[in-house]
Amino acid sequence: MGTQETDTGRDAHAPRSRRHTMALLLRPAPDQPDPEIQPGAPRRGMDAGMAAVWAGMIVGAGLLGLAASDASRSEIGENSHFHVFWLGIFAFLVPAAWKLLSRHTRDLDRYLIVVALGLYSYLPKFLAYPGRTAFFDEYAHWTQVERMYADGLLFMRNNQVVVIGDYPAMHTTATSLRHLTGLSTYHVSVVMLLALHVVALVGVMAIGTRIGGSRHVGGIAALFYAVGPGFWYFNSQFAYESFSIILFIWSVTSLVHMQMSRTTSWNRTAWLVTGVLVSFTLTGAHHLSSYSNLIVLGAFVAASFVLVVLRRESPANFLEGLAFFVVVALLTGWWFVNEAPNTRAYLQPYVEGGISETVSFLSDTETGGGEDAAAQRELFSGSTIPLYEKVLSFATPVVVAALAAFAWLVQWRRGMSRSSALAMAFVAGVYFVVYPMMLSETGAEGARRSWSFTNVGVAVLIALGVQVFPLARRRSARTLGTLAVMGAMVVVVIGNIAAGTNELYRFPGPYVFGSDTRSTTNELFETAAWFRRTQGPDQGLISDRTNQIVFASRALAVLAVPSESYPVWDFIVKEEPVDPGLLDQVADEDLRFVVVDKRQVEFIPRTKFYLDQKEPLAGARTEPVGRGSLTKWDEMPYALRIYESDHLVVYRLDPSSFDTPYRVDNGLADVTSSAGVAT
Amino acid sequence: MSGNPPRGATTRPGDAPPPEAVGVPATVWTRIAVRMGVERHHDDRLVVDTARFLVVSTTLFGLAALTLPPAVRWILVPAALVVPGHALVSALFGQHLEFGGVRRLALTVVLSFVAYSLAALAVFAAGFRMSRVTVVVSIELLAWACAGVVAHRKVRAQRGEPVSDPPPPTYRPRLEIRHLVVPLGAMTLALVVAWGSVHVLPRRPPEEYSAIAFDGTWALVNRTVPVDPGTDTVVQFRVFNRTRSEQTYDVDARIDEGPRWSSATLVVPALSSASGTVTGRVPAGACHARLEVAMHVDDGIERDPLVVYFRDVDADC
Repeated sequence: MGTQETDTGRDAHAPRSRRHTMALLLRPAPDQPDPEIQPGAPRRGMDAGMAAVWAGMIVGAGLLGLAASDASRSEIGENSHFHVFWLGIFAFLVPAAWKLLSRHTRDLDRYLIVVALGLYSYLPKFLAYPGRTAFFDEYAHWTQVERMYADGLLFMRNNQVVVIGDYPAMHTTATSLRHLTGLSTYHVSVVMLLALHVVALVGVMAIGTRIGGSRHVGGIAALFYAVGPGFWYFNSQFAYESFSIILFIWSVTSLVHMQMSRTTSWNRTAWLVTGVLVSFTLTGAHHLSSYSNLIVLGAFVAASFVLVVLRRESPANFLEGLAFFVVVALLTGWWFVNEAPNTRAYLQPYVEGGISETVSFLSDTETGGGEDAAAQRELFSGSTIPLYEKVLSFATPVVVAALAAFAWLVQWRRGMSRSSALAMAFVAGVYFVVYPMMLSETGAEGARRSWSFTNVGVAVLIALGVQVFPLARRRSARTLGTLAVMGAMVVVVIGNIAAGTNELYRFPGPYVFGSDTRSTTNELFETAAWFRRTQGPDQGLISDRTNQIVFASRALAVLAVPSESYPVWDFIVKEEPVDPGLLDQVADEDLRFVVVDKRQVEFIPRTKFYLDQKEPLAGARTEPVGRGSLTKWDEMPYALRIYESDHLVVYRLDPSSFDTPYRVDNGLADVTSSAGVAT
Repeated sequence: MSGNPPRGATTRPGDAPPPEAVGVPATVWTRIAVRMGVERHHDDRLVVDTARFLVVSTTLFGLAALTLPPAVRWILVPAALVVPGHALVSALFGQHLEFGGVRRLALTVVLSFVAYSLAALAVFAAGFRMSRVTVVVSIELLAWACAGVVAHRKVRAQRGEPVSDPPPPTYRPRLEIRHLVVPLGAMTLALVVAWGSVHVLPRRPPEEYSAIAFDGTWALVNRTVPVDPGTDTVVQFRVFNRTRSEQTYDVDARIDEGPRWSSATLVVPALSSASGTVTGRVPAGACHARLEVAMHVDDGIERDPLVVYFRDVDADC
């Protein structure tokens, strides 16, 4: 059953019909030996294309650094750094893509370019916020590793992102590396992310190479995965998604290699064991990734079942694929039931919200309620990114759909004789099915995250299709086809980065209130450092979203988990003293500190809420909270102001002075007790 | 590397060991190499006994992780990324992985991450906490178990028993170190350029600000403080000058319905902090006297005072 990779860009076992489809474009070049493309044949010197790749990488890295520097000194509305940024991206990406698309590129060079692309794709995020965590989720995972390193315990609760305690695989890996290498958590995260980016692309290349039967296809698949959604920023953050996407890719790699090995081969068993090990780790790494893994494995099983029924594939593929799927499904189910009790409650609002908002939008549109629907979500509202980024963002789905449709047509003409190719086409289809969810606020988050997984299918499918252009017989068709694919690649990378990550996450710059990345100032970091130094770790604390994540990570503060029945946001947004009932709850949970940002009365947070999405007027504010939210503290004698800077105030709550009826009745209010403080 | 001779070697499973592997020159280094499982074949190719190599390499790695000081332990980063994964790949695939080079290395790194995760779960399930010792021991045990699998497979092969099919005749690109010099140099240089740009190119300077906080034990006060109104109470504070110029801070204190407290003036150099005190008395009979410690600096920014409450220790509150 196995197919063997060849050095001429084609599969030696491919059906003959493949060579005669679609006339000009699909007619490959003759098989005359070409000394320039002999496998592994060393050249005497480096060709100009590869020299351009390596020179472009160095120059591009400098340009990316320049763009980050320019951005950090820019003011709101200035966007010259966008142009420098794209110059830096394309200085490397264009020659790299040209060499990956070329059929003359040596195999070793293809690998090296893919490795370099993996390293390079981490640079923009690294340069935007060097030396520290920056994205919202990063703070939670950074804290989780710090606590695991200090305590040695797994499954520790994290109140910032409550579900991550149930998925410790990435944290245990990072903690192990910390123990073994002595590096800090930040430096371990840099090492891990560089390695993860490289092995992700090599994994996609391995899938493409095995399915397409040539490293040419594998290299193109890696290229299109690299320019896909989320790879440059979202998957560059130190979070469990970045870790699990790699496990997902290598789980699929294991299945593809298992199914495409000879049925008597030891390798099938080895790949099965590898796949189960990787999938089990994935189950303990991230919830959505493990479910996506199940869906994709199921697609492979279904595809092989179809081809077994059509007598085009060995039943062993179906049976062993089914065994793989069942084992992974059982492990995933066991983890969900026994080890991840918070997952269902965590995911439910996202799933329900995404579906209901999308359905509501579509029904509004059908019934003519277009204005209401449009009001729900306006893409790029308030964004100051360049016009070409906005335009290309809208063009990207069209371009990707066109490439995928072309590739699907090529595969269809070839007969779809392999279950792995059929399964990849199915996975690619899911990529487009979730597009309507982008129209809803909640659904967009889910759609974006699913694309990191389904883009594997899109990338491999596109590679299987567009490989015919560089293989065309006529030079003009070859050149024009390659240029067209490169043009599409340029559109896709710009569109995906612009649509997938907002400018505040992409670039440093002036302060923006409530924006996660741009609202974490050195004033905040130093206040958190003072807090940890004077008050110690593990102190219960309430604050707005931005201050909380910094205090939770840098000061190891313990956060409250707000809800409608536990509205701790009242301490921040309410303009009157908080209710006695809430004071009781806070005292019981030993939350003794409140950090207030005085700028909250000047700005609406960029995230559209101060502390939590469930707080009153979240997402609907047209004006900031009133000054009463700051002056109310003067009417709260149980709040001692112990730190005051230009923008931040730290209050210490005195529970013994909460003379609420509950506390007085239970003897908990004790204003006469001594603090024992030296005078 | 694998337990069986590499492709191109003249031996087959079941053959007697090549005589060249036995007749090793008796130098110290070659003795050590042989002990570690590395022998030189007649065609100058190094033949590595994978099982012994796994045991020796993971043991050395573990010893280094346990004994090296943190300042130099970072040199173990490459080894940490591949050692556990190499053990798993060797045990699972041996020589039979249909690809090598970059893809094998990538699989090795992935399986290293898998090994760390699963080993930590096993350690936790066994009732231990994660520490340097438990991480090293668990990885050692895993690697030794993998070495056992490799050795078992080799013994069976030497007995002539079938262990698995031969590897598929997949083409692997020839890897020569000299071909990697420019690419690896360029990648390293690009990373250095990126890292260097952070330090060389100008960035937005950190925001300037000033701050005041209670200092010493006063920073830990969280309730009304009983004091003797007949004696002076000294309250310690600290001011932070996070501007890029020297600043003069006037700090005064005011207590409800009580006598005037002393004030303090601190001249604080740029980007540093200083500690000071204010002194005064609490009014007799007070139950909840509010002391406000305010900082004034000529920068036009309005700041609220720090707050602490006092009561007369003898008052009937």
